[in-house]
Amino acid sequence: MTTLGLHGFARALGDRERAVESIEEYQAICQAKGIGLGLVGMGCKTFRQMTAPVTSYVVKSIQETLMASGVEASDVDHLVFSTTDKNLSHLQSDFATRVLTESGLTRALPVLVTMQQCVSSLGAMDHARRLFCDEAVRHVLLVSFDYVLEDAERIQPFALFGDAVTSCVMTRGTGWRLLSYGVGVDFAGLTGADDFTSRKKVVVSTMNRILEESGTKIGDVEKCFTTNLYKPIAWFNASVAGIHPSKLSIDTLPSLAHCGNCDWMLNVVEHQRLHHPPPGTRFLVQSFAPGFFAGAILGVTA
Amino acid sequence: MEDYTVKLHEILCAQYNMRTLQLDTLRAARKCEEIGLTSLGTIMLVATYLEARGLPDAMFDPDWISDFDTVDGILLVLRIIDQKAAK
Repeated sequence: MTTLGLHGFARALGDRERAVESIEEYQAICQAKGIGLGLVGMGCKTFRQMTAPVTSYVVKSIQETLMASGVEASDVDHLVFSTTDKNLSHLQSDFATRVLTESGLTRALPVLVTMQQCVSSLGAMDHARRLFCDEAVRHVLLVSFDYVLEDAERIQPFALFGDAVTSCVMTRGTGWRLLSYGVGVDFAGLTGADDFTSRKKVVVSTMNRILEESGTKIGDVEKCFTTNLYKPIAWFNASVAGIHPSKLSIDTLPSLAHCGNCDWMLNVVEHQRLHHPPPGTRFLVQSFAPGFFAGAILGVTA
Repeated sequence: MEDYTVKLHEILCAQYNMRTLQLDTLRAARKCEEIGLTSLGTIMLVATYLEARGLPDAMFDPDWISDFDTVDGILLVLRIIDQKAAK
């Protein structure tokens, strides 16, 4: 199969910026969830909230991706959405049609990848690469979105949830080359019966597969764009995966918190704003969720 | 020789809202869940301890993970961190 690459990384954030203390009964929720040091102690300062329907943010992110990538809307063959499971029950039935119409994606075939919680966007990436088995396919647009409706649900024992959309396009021979992908499931984690050992097992086995498939040594990885879990948990997870904290990119954690399956791409966008990595640079992208772990190696090309 | 159970008890009482936890209860406990220490609590405890001992950028040693589910395991990890900090 031809080399596939990702480019045109973009984001559309919830328009309302809020301090973590603005969450009603913030202190009581933190105590109840066992977050004794409070959210600031966990690395979170602010988060974004969507005040308009999610479709408007999705369309905005798509427009930015098309502009950044130079791909015409009418040249997009497939549109692969991803979101976490909780959003399925309140997605409007005309969601896809509205996005296609407002984005001018007149030829794109939509599909939604979910059921892998915050790992879903990497599942979407895997689905996208399989679509290129059809030689006629030129561009696949990836759009991940996540948001929370009830404020009280934002604070969880492992992360603070914010609202965001991220997107990019997969094209033959352009962008950050997709060198490998892997996902693992820890069934005990799906039922809340996991422990440190079972979590470590799925991370280590998946990481080994990703590194081997791409011929990458862990020391070759320049940065690891990962899930914006609370900082100590992110550090812990990185250590389990063999990543030194200095290579961990959770730069958007303090300002954006954990935006479900969008995080790795949010951190890529942030990194690209400030850096221009030379060809040959290798990045690791990761997503963690209860019961799931996924990752991929991306290589920068000229 | 320093009694690490006393040390852990002080940390839990001070930082983890476990002021009602008795030292004898901690000594008798085998699994962390018996004293109400969650996964997040364990990770936080170790991360905070690394920072307090001047090792904020140190990695969690993956070998510690098998120790994280038991009180004895946590005590062992605290000892190892102190040894690292002393070097």
